[in-house]
Amino acid sequence: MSSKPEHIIRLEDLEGLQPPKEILLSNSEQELVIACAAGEKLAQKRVYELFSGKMLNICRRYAKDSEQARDLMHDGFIKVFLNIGKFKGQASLQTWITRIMINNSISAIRKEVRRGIKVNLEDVQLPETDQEQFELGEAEKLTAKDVFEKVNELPLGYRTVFSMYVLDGFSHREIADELDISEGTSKSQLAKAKKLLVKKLRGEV
Amino acid sequence: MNQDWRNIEDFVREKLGLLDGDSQPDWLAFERKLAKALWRRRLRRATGLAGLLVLLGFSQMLISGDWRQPSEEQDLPAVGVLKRAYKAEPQKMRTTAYSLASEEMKSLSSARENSPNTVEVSNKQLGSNTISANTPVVQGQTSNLSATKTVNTQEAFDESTAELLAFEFFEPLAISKPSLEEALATIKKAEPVRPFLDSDLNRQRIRAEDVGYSVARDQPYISPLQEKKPWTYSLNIYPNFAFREFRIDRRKRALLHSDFIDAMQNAERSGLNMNVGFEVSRRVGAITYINTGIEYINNSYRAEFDFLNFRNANFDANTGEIINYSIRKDPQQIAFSNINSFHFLNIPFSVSYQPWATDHIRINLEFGFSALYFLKAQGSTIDYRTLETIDLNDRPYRKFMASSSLTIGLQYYVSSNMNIGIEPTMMYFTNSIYTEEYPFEVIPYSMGVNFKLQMKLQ
Repeated sequence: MSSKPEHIIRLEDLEGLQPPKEILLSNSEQELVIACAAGEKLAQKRVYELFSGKMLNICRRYAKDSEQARDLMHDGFIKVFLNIGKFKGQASLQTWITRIMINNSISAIRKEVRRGIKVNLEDVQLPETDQEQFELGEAEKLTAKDVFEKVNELPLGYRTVFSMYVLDGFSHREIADELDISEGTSKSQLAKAKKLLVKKLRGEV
Repeated sequence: MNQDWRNIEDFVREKLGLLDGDSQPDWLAFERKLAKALWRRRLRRATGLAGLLVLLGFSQMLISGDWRQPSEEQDLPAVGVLKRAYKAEPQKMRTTAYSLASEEMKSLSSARENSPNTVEVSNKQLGSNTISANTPVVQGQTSNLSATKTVNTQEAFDESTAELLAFEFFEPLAISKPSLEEALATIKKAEPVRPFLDSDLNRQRIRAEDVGYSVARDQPYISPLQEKKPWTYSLNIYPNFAFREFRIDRRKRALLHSDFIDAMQNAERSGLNMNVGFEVSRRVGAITYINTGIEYINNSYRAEFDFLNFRNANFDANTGEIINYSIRKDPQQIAFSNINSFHFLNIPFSVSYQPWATDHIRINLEFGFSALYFLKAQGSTIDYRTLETIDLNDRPYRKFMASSSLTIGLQYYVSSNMNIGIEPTMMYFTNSIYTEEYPFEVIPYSMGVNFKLQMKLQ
C-alpha cells in the first residue's frame, strides 16, 4: 500500500497541463473569485464561511494552540483575498486556499519547529518506517475528532513533519527544503511521530 | 493479515478525511484584520509612489542642476557675516531690527510731513551726492533727507546693527554686496514685513529706482518659488481627511428604520480621500495663477454599525415606506464593519495667489470650483430601511456633483521642482451624489486637510 496520498492535487503538478478553467472551477466558484477580486465584501464573507472550518483544522495541525491556529488562518485568508486576483483556476479554489494556508503556517512556525527538531538531533536516526504496521486495537473505534486531537498532542516538530508528509503530501525532500533540515532528519522525525502517535491512540501515554 | 494491524498513515488519513470543520463565526473579527491589511497595502503603494516621485524629482534636479548650490552663498562674505550673526542670536537681532526699523520709519514720516513737497527723485540725482542739509524738497530735485538721516543713523547705530538691518529687510540687496552706506540708505525706505500684493508692483518699482544702487532691479523681488513661467504642469498626489455631517430628512422619515437612526448618524461621517491628479497652471499676474487639470479621487470611509434591532418593520407594498413595526421577541444584535469607497473623476478650476514666499516655503491662497463625475461605489453597508446587508452599488447615485472650495496652503520645497504641503480646505457642495430616495440630508459643507506632494513637470 502506498503511503503517499493520491487525492491531493498540488499546484506545481498542474502547471504545464493547463486544464480548462471550467473543469476544476465551478461556475459559482468562478463568480466568487471574480467578486472577491473586485473587493466585494459579501463574496469574501461567503468564501470565508465556506472554507474557514477546514482551514482552521489545517492550521491547527501546525500551530502551537488554538489561538495561534486562528491567527494563522486569518493571516492565510488575508493572503488569499489580497492575491485572489492572481488565482488562475488551474486547481480548485479549495486546493489553492489550502496550499496558501499550509505555506503560511509553515513559514510562521518554521523557526520554532527547527528549534524543536535540533534538540532531538543527537538521537540516532531511525530507518524509514512507512510500511510498518501497527496494532491499533481499540483505537480503531476512535472518532475523527479524537484522532485529530491525538495528532495535535504530538510535539510541534513531530506533528509538523507528520502533517506535511502524511496529510499534506510533501515528500521528505520538500520537507527538508521547507524546514531547512536534512532528509534524514525528516524521516527520523516522521518515524518517531508515528510511534508516539500509535502509543497515544492506544492510550499508552 | 490481522484486521487490527493497520498502517498508521492510512489510518490517520482515513479518519481525518472524514473531519469537516465547522464554519467559523468570527467573520467580523477577520474583516477588521482584512481591512487593516488592505489599508496597509494601500499605504505601502502610496508610499512607494511618493518615494518614486521624490526620487524622480531629485534625479531631475541633479540632471538639470537648477538647485541653488551652497557655494554661491559662501562666495559672498557680507552675507556670511550677517547670517552667522543672525543664527547666533536670531530673536534678539530680529527684535532689535524691527524696533530700529520702526523708529526709523517714524522719524522718516515725520520728516516727510514737515517737508513742503513730495519726494520724487531720479537715480542720477540720488547718486550725485550734491545734497545740502535742510533744503526744502522740490519736484525733480534731490532731497537732503537721505544724507541727513544717513549721518544720524551712522552715529546712532553701530556697524553690526546696520548690517543686521540690511540683512533683515534687504537680504536680496545684501546678496548683491551693498556697502554699509548703501544698506543704510536703503533702510530709510524700509517698511515692516507684510504680504506682497500685486498692487505693490508699481510702488516697488519706483522705490528700486529711487534707491539708485547699481544693484537696483527693474522688477520687484519674487521668490524663486513664485512661479515665473507662463505655463507649468505638475503631478499632485495627496490624501485628504474630510469631515461631513448627515442629518435625517424629516420628510423621508418613513424610509428609515427606527432602530437604525442613531447607528447611521455615527457611522458614515468622516473619511479619507486619496487624490491623484495632473495640474496645469497659467500665470496671470506676478503672483497670481489660474489652475485646472484632472484628478482621480478615491473617497474611503468606514461603515461601522453595532446596534440592537428591537422590531421588525412592516412595509407598504406600493411605496416601500415603513407603515409600522412589530416588536421582536428576541432583539437581534446587528454588528457590521466595512471599509467602503466611492470613486470620482474631478475637474477643478481655481485661482491661486501666492502672497508670501521664502527660498523654501511658500504660502498659497486658492479659491475654486470643481465638477466631480461619479465613477463607482465599492463595498457594502446596512440598508437603512430593511436592516439587511446590501452592496453599495444597489443604491442609486447621481452622476455629477459640483463644489466650491477655499484653501490655505503652506508648501515646503524639497527641491525647485518638488514640494510637500499642508492645506486646510473648506468645501461647499451644491449637491450630493445621493438621490431623492436617500433619507438623510447631507450638510453641504466639508472641512478637510490635504497633505500634498506636488512635482512640477516643467
